[in-house]
Amino acid sequence: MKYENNEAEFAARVCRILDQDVAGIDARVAEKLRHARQRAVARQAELSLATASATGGGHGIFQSLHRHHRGVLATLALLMGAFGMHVWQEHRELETMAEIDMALLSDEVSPGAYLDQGFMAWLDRLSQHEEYLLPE
Amino acid sequence: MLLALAPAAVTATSFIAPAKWADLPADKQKILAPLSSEWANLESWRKKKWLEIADRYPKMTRQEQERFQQRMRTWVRLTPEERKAAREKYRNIQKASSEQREAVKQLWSEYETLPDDEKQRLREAAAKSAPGGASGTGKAGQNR
Repeated sequence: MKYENNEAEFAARVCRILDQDVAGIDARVAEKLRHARQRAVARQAELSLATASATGGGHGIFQSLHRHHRGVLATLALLMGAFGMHVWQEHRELETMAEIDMALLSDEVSPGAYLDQGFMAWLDRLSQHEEYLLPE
Repeated sequence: MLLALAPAAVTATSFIAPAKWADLPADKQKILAPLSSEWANLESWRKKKWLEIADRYPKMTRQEQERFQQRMRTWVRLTPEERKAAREKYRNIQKASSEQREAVKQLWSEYETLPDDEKQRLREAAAKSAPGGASGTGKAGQNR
C-alpha cells in the first residue's frame, strides 16, 4: 500500500475519516457510547486498585517477609544439618573408641602389658631373634 | 527433629549421659559398678563411651566380662597419654597374624612369671635405652 512506509500519515488519515464518521453519529448512540466508555474506564480503575492491594501496596512487605522466612528456614536447615553431622561424627568416634576399649580390657593380654616398658622391650628383643616380628 | 537427623543408632542413653551415678539405669550401674566412685569425675564423652560399652557388654563371654570388670577401674585412672599408648600398641598387635598374637599372649604369660626384680631390671634397662631417657613407670604393668 501507499501508506505502508509512512505510518504517521496513515494514522492521521484514519483519524480524519473517523472524525468525519463521528460527526454523523446519532446523539443517542453517542450518549450510549460515552456511558459505556465511562463504565469501562471505572472498571479498569477498580481492577488496577485491587491488583495494587494484592501485589502492589503489600508487595514489598509480603515479598520481604517471604524472602526473610526463606532465608531463616535455609539457615535453620543448614544448622540442623551441621548439628546432625556433628552428632553422627561424635557417635562414630565414640563407637570406635568403645570397641577398642572393650576389646582391650577383655583381652587375654592385660592392657598393662602394652604400658610395661620391660615387657615391650623384652618382646622387641625376642622378636628380633624369633618369628614374633610385630607390625610397626 | 534434631534427633531425627542423628543416626538411629544414637540411643537416648548414649546421647545424653547422666551426670550423676544415681541417675544411671540399674542395669548400667551393675555393669559399670567398678566406676561408681569415678563416674562424677569423668568427662561427658567418656561417660557416653562407657554407656556405649555397657550396651555391648552382654555380648561378651563370661570370661571376657570378668576380665573387663577387673580392669575397668585401673583403666580409668590411667592418664590419657597412657590410654592412648596402650590403644595404639594393642591395635598394632591386632594387625599381626594370629600366630604372632598368640605368641604375644604366650610371652606375656611367661613375663608375668618372672621374678619382680627381673621385671624391674628389664624396665630400668628399657627406660635407659628409650629415647629421651626414662619414661613410663611400669606401674601399669600391675594393671591386670
